[in-house]
Amino acid sequence: MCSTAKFGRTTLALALASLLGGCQSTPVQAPLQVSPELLAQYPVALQDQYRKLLGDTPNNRVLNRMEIASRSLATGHFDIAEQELDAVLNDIESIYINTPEAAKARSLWYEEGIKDFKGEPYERAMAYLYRGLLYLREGDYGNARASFEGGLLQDAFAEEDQHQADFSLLVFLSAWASQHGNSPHLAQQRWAELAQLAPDFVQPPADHDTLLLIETGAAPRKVRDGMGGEVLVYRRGRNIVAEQVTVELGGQVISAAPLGDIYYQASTRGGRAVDRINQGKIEYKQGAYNVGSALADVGTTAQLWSAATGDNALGNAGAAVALVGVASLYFSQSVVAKADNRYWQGLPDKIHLLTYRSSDHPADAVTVNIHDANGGILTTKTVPIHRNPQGVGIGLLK
Amino acid sequence: MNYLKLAALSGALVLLSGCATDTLNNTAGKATKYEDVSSVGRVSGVGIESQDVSSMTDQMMRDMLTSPILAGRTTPPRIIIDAQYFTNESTSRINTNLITDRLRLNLNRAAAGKMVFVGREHAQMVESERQLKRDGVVDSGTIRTTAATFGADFRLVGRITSLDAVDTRTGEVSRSHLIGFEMIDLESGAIVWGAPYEFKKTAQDNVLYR
Repeated sequence: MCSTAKFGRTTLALALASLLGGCQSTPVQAPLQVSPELLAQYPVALQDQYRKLLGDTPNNRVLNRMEIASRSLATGHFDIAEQELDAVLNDIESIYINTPEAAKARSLWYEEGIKDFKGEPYERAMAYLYRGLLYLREGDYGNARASFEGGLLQDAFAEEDQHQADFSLLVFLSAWASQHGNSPHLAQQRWAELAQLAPDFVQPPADHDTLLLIETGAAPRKVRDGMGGEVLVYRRGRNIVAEQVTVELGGQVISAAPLGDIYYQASTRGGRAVDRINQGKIEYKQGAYNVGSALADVGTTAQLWSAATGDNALGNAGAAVALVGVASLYFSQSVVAKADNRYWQGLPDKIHLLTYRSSDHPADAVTVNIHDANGGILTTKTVPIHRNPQGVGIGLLK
Repeated sequence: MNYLKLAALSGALVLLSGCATDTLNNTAGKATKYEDVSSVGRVSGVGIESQDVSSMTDQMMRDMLTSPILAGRTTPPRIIIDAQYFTNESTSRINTNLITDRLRLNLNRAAAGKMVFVGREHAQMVESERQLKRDGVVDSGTIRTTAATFGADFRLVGRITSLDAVDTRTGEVSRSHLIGFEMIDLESGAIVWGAPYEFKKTAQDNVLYR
């Protein structure tokens, strides 16, 4: 009897689903074709990213701009990185009240990923960090510091109290910008804070005027977890073998300090408010499924009893109850509670830093070695050092 | 007929069964709004926007025009207003030229000759042209020649500072700005005029982004 009931339920479900098939509303939009002429105005190294930006849906605009910024920084297109990061930060700083996409993302029928992407706090903090580095390149220390502080503000949204505003690299950069921007009192505050956050890190002497940042590893990944993929969890990037960085300076080999662990920043953020919305969707989905399943079983059983006893009235009632049950099953299937797992792939796993005096090493480039956990050299790179109008140098290896 | 009623009732119960959730606070975000800086406002805040630049420079301009030291002299004082000594120590990214340029442009127009503005940031350009004139490469122009370019009597300095607060429970952010404007006597170092501009903003993003 059980298999007969299931057969009846499945048949009804298929019939109802075919009737209601047009109601399913998850949008699927094919990427727009981008003309070669349009792409030709961008540097070749960035054309793939711009093709994605121009052809993608608007809700991925910020994410695509973040990826362009990463690639621009890696390929030396700093003006483009500046322009894209400004656009990203404008979106991040915009207060989204209740856009149609936001309303959809909160509804039962759409997954969270339909919302405009603004990134999780660690991604927003990194957008501020990169913009701050570009201000440092220009010697605009006020805005550099403001950017780093903006990143720290994003980090302050961490829900786990002990991890609020613990992004040591941003604290360092804020102190560095303040120190070179002639705001020693602000620098002192941040140096003191850094001493607490990273007790092993030695504050650079005041005459250090060159900053070198080296990125290693792949971006932390966002993975859906929970019964229906409604919870967002983080995993370290794949195939990460780089663990240490050394820099060759004037015949010496000096270790760079791994002050920024992006995966750590992502994974210590704690639960999100939207996770509870997704959880509510899952509860609805499960509740509707349980009730629908029970009603479909009862209705189908009633129909079988009707056939056995010849009671047509019971058969009609059974059919009606089964129909309601199948409708409930259908609605249960239509509820979408998946967490938004889009993430900024251009981020690193870790950022290592080193400062030095230009008088000790005046060359406009330095040699960087990236090592595995056993100290073996994985790769050696040359990093150009850019000096801003005040003579303060900065180098970034992405 | 009774069966149909039963079915309808069952259907309604089914559809409503998923509506009961816990006490989740999923209210929509709140619009940014201005608050009296002297009031105890909600936690929150955002950056300096165009309307802030407009209102602060308008207020400073009016204040300077009523200052007898700056606008009441028989001989109009020479003043430098640029961003050279206007620093940003806040957490808001801002091009300080926006503030000083708007202030100088509007003040220059409104002062109607009561103040003379010296474009120190263009000194190199002026020196270059003067050299061409003195070398005879170009003629001396139609107005006059002077022994030297103008020295200034006063120069504007300023500082933008801010205080941030975050309520991680609700996702509200608050930022309070203080923008201080001061005019420095370039002989004595005295601060002959000064005025603050303060504002505080609160904001809360949509629950999807908290």
